[in-house]
Amino acid sequence: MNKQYYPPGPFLRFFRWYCHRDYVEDLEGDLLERFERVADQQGPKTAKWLFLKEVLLLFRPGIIRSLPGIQKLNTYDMVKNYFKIAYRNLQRQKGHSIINISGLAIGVATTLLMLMYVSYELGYDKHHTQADRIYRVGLHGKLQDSEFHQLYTTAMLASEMKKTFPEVEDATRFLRLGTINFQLLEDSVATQTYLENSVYAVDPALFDIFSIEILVGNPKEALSSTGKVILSESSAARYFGNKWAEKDLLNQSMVINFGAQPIHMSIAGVVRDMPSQSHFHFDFLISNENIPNSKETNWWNNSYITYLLLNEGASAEELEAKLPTLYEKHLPPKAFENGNEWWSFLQPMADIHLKSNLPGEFEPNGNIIYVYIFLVTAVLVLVMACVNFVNLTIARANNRFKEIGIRKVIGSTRSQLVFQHLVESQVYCLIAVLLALVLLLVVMPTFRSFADVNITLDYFDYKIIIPGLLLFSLLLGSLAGLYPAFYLTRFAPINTLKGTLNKKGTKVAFKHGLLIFQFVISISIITGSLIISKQLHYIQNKQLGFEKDGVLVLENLYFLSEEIDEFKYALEQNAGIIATSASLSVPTIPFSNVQFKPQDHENMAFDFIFADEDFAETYGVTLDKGRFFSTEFASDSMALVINQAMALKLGWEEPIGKQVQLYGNADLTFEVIGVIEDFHHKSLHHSKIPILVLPNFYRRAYRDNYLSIRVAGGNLQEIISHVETTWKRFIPEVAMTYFFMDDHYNNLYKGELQVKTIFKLFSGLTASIALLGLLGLVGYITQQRKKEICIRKVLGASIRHLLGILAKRFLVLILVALVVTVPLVWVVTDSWLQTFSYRIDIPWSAFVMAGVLTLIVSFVTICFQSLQAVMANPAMTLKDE
Amino acid sequence: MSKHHLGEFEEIVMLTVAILHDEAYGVAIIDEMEQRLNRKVSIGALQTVLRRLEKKGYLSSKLGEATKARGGKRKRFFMLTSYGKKVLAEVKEQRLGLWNAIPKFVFGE
Repeated sequence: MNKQYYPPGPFLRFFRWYCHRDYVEDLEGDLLERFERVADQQGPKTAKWLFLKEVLLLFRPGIIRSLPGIQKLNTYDMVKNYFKIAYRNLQRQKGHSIINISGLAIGVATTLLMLMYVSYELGYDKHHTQADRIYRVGLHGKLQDSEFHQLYTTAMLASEMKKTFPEVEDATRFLRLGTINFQLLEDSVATQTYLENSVYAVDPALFDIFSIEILVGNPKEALSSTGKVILSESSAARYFGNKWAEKDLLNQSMVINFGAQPIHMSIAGVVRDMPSQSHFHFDFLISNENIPNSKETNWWNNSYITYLLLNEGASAEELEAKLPTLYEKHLPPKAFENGNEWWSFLQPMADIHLKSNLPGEFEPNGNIIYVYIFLVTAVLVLVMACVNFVNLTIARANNRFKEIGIRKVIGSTRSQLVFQHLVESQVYCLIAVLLALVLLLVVMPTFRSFADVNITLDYFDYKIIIPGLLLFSLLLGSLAGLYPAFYLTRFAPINTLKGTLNKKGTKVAFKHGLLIFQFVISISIITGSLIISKQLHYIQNKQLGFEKDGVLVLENLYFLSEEIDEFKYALEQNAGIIATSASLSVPTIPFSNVQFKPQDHENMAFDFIFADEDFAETYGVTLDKGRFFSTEFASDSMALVINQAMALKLGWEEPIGKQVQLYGNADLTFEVIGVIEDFHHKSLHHSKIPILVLPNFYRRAYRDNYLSIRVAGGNLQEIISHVETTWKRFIPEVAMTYFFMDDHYNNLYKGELQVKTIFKLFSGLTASIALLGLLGLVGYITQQRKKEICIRKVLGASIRHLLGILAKRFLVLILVALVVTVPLVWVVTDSWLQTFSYRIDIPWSAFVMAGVLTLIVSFVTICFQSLQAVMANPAMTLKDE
Repeated sequence: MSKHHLGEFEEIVMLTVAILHDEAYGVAIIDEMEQRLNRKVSIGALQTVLRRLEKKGYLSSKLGEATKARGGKRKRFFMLTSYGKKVLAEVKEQRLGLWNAIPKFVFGE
C-alpha cells in the first residue's frame, strides 16, 4: 500500500445511512479493504466503480436497517397488541363493556332511525325529474281584516297563466272528484258497483309536468278527450287481479257516477302508482273535458288545484311579483274595495310536503318543524351517547393508569399510547355500530307501525350505507376516544405507578359536568314528551262543542236521495241507536265556504253545512238561544242556525230573527232561528270559526253526503251489522263505508300523534342511556370508596346511612340537571304550543313528574350498584391490600 | 429428504467458511471463492447469505480486533456451528448417496 486512496464519500455515507446498525462496522471494513486492494492493483478509478457497485448491491433486504423512528417490531406487532389488549379489556370487564357498548349502540340506532325518518320526510317529490321547476299556485285573499290562504283556485287560472306569462311553460289542474262509484261493463251489462276514493280530473299537461311512468296505453292522448279513464297500477290490480297486465284492459268500459248523469267511460291506460314519498296519490284520472265546470270563467269559483311548470332559468320570484295583475284584470274593481286583496302565490314543489298546510291538501302533509325537532334530538342523542362513552371510559381510567405507566417506562411514546386508546375506542365503536344495525333491523318493523311511517331499510343504498357506517364508526370512535386517550396519557409515569396521582379536582368536575349534561338531555326529552302527551290529551278531550265519541258516520249517502227519511226511520228501530242525522258535511270534513250577505253587513265568506233537524241531537250540540230546526214548522225550510262565533263576529246581540242572504240573493233569504254553542269542526290548531247551519230537509238539491248515527253504546258490533243490513236493503248495489268520528278527529292530529309516539320512544331510549351512564359511574365511585365505606361500617355506620352518603352526590347532580332543564324545555315547548289556538299552560307537574321519576330510578340504580359494596364484609375488603 | 435445505450458493459459502476456518471474514471468503471457483461474488450477495445462515444457526460470528488496515474497522469472523457442520455433512451424504446410485455405465467407466 504505497499511496492512500479514499473511496467516494457520498457513497460511503449512503452506505452508512442505509446499512443495518449491527452490520455497519464490519461491512464497511470489508468494503474498504476491497477498495484499497483493487485501487492498489487496478487503479483508483476501477476501485471507485467497483465500490459504487458493491454499495448498490448491498442495498437489499437483510442488510438495510428499518425505517427510522418506527421500529419494525413496533408497527405491526404493537398494533396487533393494541387490538389484543382492547379485546382482553373488553372481556375482563364484562359488565362495564356491556354498559359502554350498549349505551353507544342504543344512541347510534336511535340516531340512525331518526335520520332515516328525517331523510324520508325530506325526500318527498324528488322523483319528478323537473321537480325544481314545478310550482303550485295558491290563492291569497283578504276580506275585511280576515286573511286566508287557500289551495283551490279558479278553473281559468291555469290557461290564463300560460297565456299571460312567458315564464310558464305548462300548466295542469287537478279537480278533486272525491269518492265516486262505478260499475264495470261486461258485454254492456253492469256488474257490481265499486267505490273509488282518489279520483281526479286533470289536464293532458300532467304527463309533461310530472314524471309519471306509463305502463299501458296512451294516457296523455286520453286526457285530451272525453270518456276515457286512466287507472293507477294498484287500482288495476284491485279490479282485474294481480295479473291485470295479461288481460286486455284497454277499452274495457265502465259507468261512472260523479255528476248528475252516469257517464260511460273506457279504460285508456294504466300508469305506475305514485311513490309513497309523493304529496299526492290517485287511483283514477279522467280528463277535465268531462267536467263542464272546467270551462267556467267565473273567477269567484275556486275549486281547482293548479300546478305550473316554469321555463328553465325562469325566476319564480319575478313571476310571483307579476301575479296580482291577473286577479286585478279578471275580478271586478268592487272586489278590491275596503282594502280587500286577492292574489296568487307560488309554492315550490319541494316545499309542499313539509312547508304547506293549506286547508284541503291532497293528503295530510308533514311539518318542517317536526323534522327540525327530530334532527336536533337525533344529534343530541348521539352526543349524549358519546358523552356517556367518554364518561365511562374516564371512570374506568383508574384501572389503566398502571398499565400506561408501565408502557411509558418500557418506552411507549405518548402518541403511541394515544393511538392505542383510540384503537380501543374504535373497537368499541365498531361493535356498537354493528349492534346498532342489528337493533335497527329488529326495531324497524315495530317503529314503522308504531309511528306510522313508511320507511324501510331498502330505502337506503347499501353501497353507501355500509362504507358510510364504517366511516361513521371510525369518526365516532375517534371522537369518543379522543378525550379519554389524551386524558389517560398525560400523567408522568412515576405518579401513575406510585398511585399518588391526584385524580380529584377538576377531573371530577368535568365528569360531573358530563353527567349533568346527560341528565339535562334525558330529562328534557322526558318532560317534552310528557308535555306533548298532555297537550294532545287536552285537545283530544277538550269540549269540542260536540260529542265526538259514539258517533258512526256513513259515507256516500246520496245514493239514497229521496229515501233518506225511510232509511233513518229503519235505522232507529234498533234500540242501540239514539239519533241519526243527514248532512252535507260532518265535523273534520272541510265545510263548504260560500258568500253570504248577513243583514246590515256586506258579503262575507262563511263555512256552512246543510243538516237536518236531528243534527244537534246527534252531535250533542248545545243550543245557546232560540231553537234548532224542526219538521213541525214549515217555515223552517228558510230558517238558519248560527253559532256564537258568528253572532260575535257580526256583532249581533239578539241574533234571532236576523236575516241572511245566500250568495247575496234576495230569493234565498234565511232567518236566524237559533244560536248554537261553538263547536270545533277543524283541528284545534284553528280557533273557533263562524258557522252557519242551513236546513236540508226541504231542499234535496244539495245532496247529503253523510249520515251520522249516535249509538248508545252496548254491543257495537250488533249495531253495525244492523246498519249494514238496513243499508243493503236500501242500496244493495253499493258497499257501505263508514268511519268513527273520534278516529277521524284524532286523524287531524296525525303529525302530532306521530311526534308523540316517537318522543315516547326517545324518552325511553335517552333515559336508558343516561341510566347506563349513571350505573357505570356509580360502580366506579363505589369501587373507589370501598375502603372508606368499610371503615365507616367498622366504625358503626348503618347500611342506610352508607347508601345515603353514596347517593347524595348523584342526587345533587340530578337536581342541578333538573334546574338547568326547566328553562330549556320551557322555551322549546312554549313555541310548539303556540301553534295551537287551544293549548294548555305549560304544566309544572310535568317537570315535577320527570324530576321525581328520574330521581327515583336513579336512586334505585345507585342503591342497586352500591349495595354490594355496602353489604360486603369489611374484613374481606380491608385485608385485601 | 432432509428438512435442512441448503441452496447451492449457501452450501458453497459454508464450505468456504469451513476451509478458511479461523480466517473466514467477508473479503477473505470472496477471495477464496474467486480463487477456487473462478466466480465473481459481490459483497452484498455474500453478506446477505452469511446473515441468513447465521440466523438459521448454521454459522456463528464474532468481531475481531481492530487493526490499522480497513480504516480501523473490525473484521467479523464467521465459523461453522456444530449444527452447521451436521447439516453440511448431511448434504454431503445425500450427494454421495446420489452419486453412488448412478448406474456405472452412465459415465461410461
